Formats: sequence, C-alpha cells, structure tokens
Amino acid sequence: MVKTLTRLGIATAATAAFATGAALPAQAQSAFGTATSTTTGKAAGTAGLDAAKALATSRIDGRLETLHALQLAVNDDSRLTASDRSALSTLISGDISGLTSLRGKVGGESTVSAVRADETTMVDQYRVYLLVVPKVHLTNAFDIESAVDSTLQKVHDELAARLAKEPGGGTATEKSQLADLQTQLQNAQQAESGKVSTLLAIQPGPDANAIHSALSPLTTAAKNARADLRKARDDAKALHDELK
Amino acid sequence: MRRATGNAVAAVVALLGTVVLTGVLAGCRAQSTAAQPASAVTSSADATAAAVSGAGAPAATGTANAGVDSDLSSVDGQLAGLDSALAQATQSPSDGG
Repeated sequence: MVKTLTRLGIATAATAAFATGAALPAQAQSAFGTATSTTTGKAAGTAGLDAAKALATSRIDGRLETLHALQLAVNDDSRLTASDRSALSTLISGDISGLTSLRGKVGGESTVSAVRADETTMVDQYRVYLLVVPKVHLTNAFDIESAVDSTLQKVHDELAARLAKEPGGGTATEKSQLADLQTQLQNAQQAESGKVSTLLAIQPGPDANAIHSALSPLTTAAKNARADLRKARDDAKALHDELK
Repeated sequence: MRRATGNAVAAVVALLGTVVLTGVLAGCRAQSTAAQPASAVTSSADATAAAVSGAGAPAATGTANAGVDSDLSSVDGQLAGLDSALAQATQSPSDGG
C-alpha cells in the first residue's frame, strides 16, 4: 500500500509537471493566435480555440489520471476503515464522472471564453489537487494513527501486567515510562478525534485560501498525533527492554 | 465330543465379548472427543506442547516478550506508512489546484 501511494505521489507530480509544461506552449500558441487573428482572420481564431480546447482537455486528463490512481489506492488500502473507504470512493467516482462530462463539454465549445469558463469549473468545483489528494492521504494518515493507537494500547496493557508482577510494581523509572506511554496515547487520540469527519466535510470552491485554511489544522493535528505516537513507541520500547 | 463342543462355544463367546467391548470403548472415546469444545481440544494440545517443552512461567514470559516485540515491529511499519501518507498529503498543489 505504501508503494501504491508512493507511486501515486510520483504520478501526481508527473501529471502536474506535464500540465504546467503543457501550459507554456499553449499560452504561447494562444498569444500567437491572437496576434495573427488580426491578419489572417477566421483560420487563426479557430486555431486559438483548438489550442484552448487542447490545453483544457490536457488539464482535465491530468486530474482524471490522478483520480484513477487515487481510486486504485483507496480500493487497495487495507488500513482505511470501511466507512472512510466508502466515502472516499464515492467522492472520487463522482469527480471522475463530473470531469469526464466536462471533458466532453470542452470538446463541443465554440468560443475560447466558454473553454476558459469550463476550466474555471474544472478547478473550482473539484479541487482535485488542492483538496481531493490531501483528503485521501490525510484520511489514510488518521486511519493508520488509529491502528497504531490500538496496537500501542495493547502493548501498554501487556507491559502494565508484567510491571505489576515486579517487586514494588517496578522501579520509579519504569512506572514513569508506563505512565508517559499512556499519556502520549491519550494525546494522540485527542489530536485525531473527529478529524476525519471534519476533513471529509470540506467542500471544493473558488476560494483556495479558505480550503487551505480548513486543511491546515487537520494536517497539524495528524503531525502532532504522529509525534505523540513516536514518543509512546519509544516509551514502550524502553520499558520492554528493561523488563526483558 | 461334548467337551470339545463346549470349548468351541466358550471360545466364540469370548471372541464376541472382546469385539463388543472394543466397540463400546471406541464409541465412548469418539463421543467424548466430539462433545469436547474446540477450545478444550486446543487447550489440551497446548498443555501437551507446554509439558513437552518444559514450559511454565518462563515460557509464558517468553511468549509475552515475543508478542510485544511483534507488536512494536508492527508499529514501526505503521509509522513508516504514516510518514509516507503525511508527506503526500502535504505536497504542494499544482495546476491551479
């Protein structure tokens, strides 16, 4: 699964690079078409429309590729909960359907301005790169953290049972390590609590900054939970080594 | 002649008795095994294995150690997956978002 998602990251980056690279010659072509349209008339205008359609179509295709890769990753990921997998699958399928329709609409447009409007729709109504990609990966992160919580709680309970059998219930250091393990686990659970539902509720729209602001605290929470879980893991390892 | 017949009858009766007794014992054993819950069968096997390996408290501790080792190893793998997921979640959006 890690490999699948890593491949997905590479595919996303490659798609973005392609889209960015494709934009430059298309823009140049568009400018060229505008300049010549004053001298060659209708033929140059058609060339400009075709170039606009080609660029818009390639941008939509980049998003569709990313969505298909995300769909595979979501289906393949055993660590996602069933409800999260279902929610993400529904989101991705809906976006694939909508963008495929939009792709057909772009092909039938008769003016450059209509194509530009379709591109605005492509970005604002879907937010594939800004929102859908982070939604999938952050949901995955929170679900992994939840699984780590369970595993480390099991380790905590096992170590607590063994410490209880030590004379005096273990040394002061051992008791402190066990207590900190539980504290770090609680901190992680608190950081994760309710975040997936908040994340999945964020909607696409024209305000990119608002989306970024909504995502930012969730990313911070996931990173904080990871730091807590690393500390809990370190406590567990240290205590386990002492009790061996 | 009468004595020979008597001996033959006694031998047949003894043989029949042995067959019947063997059948009854086999039936009882089968019934006993079938009536035993799966967990009890497993416990019995575990008990036998423990006895063979000379197990007791030290073996139980060894098993617990192995369990914690395995869980901590699993956590390390999960944390590596978590790093990957977070890295991909925070990559810069492109192409207008």
